[in-house]
Amino acid sequence: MLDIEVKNKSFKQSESENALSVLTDIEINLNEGEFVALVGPSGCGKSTLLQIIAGLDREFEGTIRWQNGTNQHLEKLGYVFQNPRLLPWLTLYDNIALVLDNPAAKQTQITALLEATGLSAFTSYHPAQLSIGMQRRAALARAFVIEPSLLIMDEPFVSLDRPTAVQLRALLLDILAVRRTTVIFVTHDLYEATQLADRILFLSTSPANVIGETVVGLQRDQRSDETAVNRQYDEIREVFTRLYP
Amino acid sequence: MKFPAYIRQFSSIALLLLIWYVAALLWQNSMLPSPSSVVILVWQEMQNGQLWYHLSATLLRVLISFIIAMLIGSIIGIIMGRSRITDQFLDPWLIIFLNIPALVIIILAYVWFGLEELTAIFAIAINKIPNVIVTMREGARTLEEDYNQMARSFNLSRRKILFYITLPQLLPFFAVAARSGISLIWKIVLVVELLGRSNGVGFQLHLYFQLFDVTGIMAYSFSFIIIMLTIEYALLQPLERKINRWRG
Repeated sequence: MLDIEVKNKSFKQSESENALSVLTDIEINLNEGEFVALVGPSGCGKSTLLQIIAGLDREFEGTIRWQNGTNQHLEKLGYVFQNPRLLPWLTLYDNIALVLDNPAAKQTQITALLEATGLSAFTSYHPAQLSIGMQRRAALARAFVIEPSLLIMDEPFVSLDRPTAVQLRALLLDILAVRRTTVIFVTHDLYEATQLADRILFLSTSPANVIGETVVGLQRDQRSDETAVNRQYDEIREVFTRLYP
Repeated sequence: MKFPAYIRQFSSIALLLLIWYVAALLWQNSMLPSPSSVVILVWQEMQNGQLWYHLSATLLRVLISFIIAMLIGSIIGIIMGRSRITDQFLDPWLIIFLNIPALVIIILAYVWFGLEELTAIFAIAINKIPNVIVTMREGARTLEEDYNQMARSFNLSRRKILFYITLPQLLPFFAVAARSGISLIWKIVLVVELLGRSNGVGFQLHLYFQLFDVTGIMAYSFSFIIIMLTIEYALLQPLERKINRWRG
């Protein structure tokens, strides 16, 4: 569905210095409806890669090609950032309605998603009045409401307490079960990647490239089964320790 | 002591009036009229229409020059905050205008463009514009890149970005510029009127000054101060609270 090829991406610190390369020779092919996790050490350029995929950063060597031949700007993208990035001056409902072209016509979708994320009672609250877990659920609802053809998630559950993270992962799986969406998901938590992804790509330290790939042998309905996830996790952790000695 | 804040504020003003009253009683001199004679004059001027005539002339000048200053200052300030080249080019001008005394601008404006109403209004506005620029430039510089990225990834329209992302971030700075703007303008407007207009509170103060009539000076000063305080407390402060309501 989407072919990502980044030959080189570098940042220039200042006029005099040499450019610092952060991504090299990355090739990722995403299939329709697939959930791909990118795992790698902190600061290896994962967020930069996501920004390139989303078209927020166009200064790189390589191509982002959608298989139906369209320019990516026509594709609907849902983006869930590390911090929720809700607009603090808008209510929860308005934050979600904002990303729709015609929110009046899609009230039922908004309401359904708010219900699914357990936020129905808080639609008229401002983000500052909500817990960080609720804000992240709202960010999830905002990304899904546009019915994205690609959902980009940049460590969306990082630095949450464990119960909240577990709850949010379960929520994501629930929503995906209803609306199957192609997802590219960045995390440095291998367990999280195992539980959620169909395929895990391992990235090296900076300049990042793909150094390994593994398919997670779990069906979608097995992902809430802790023992099955744990079994897979043990296998994948072996791959992981070989890749990052 | 456990009193609500407004009672303490009110009693401090009452105390001031009392001191004034006692001082006027002890020092029987026309240079220090008693509060009651000031109130009587205010009442008389209200009755004969003079007070409203001059107050409204001044308020109209305040209003028009305020709008002009906010508009021009905001536009230049936002451009300077967003474009580094413009900022570097205009910054020396800004510093010069920030430091020219208000009186110099007023005198030069009258000398060059004549003792006209338009000159008066622009002289007031030009005194205020640099402060608006500084505040709005700061606001435009601190626009959150995170929100901008969010907007671009969701492909929001320019109109939505302007109204839901950019302007709400600038609004608090606009409110600060507006409040400090009003308080600066209403001090300058009196000087402008004193030097070159034939109506307004400043003109009346000039007149009473030439007559050494302190009662008249006080009557017009206090009427004007009360109006400006009313605008501050009844209009600007509630507006600012409303703007900042979402800050939880």
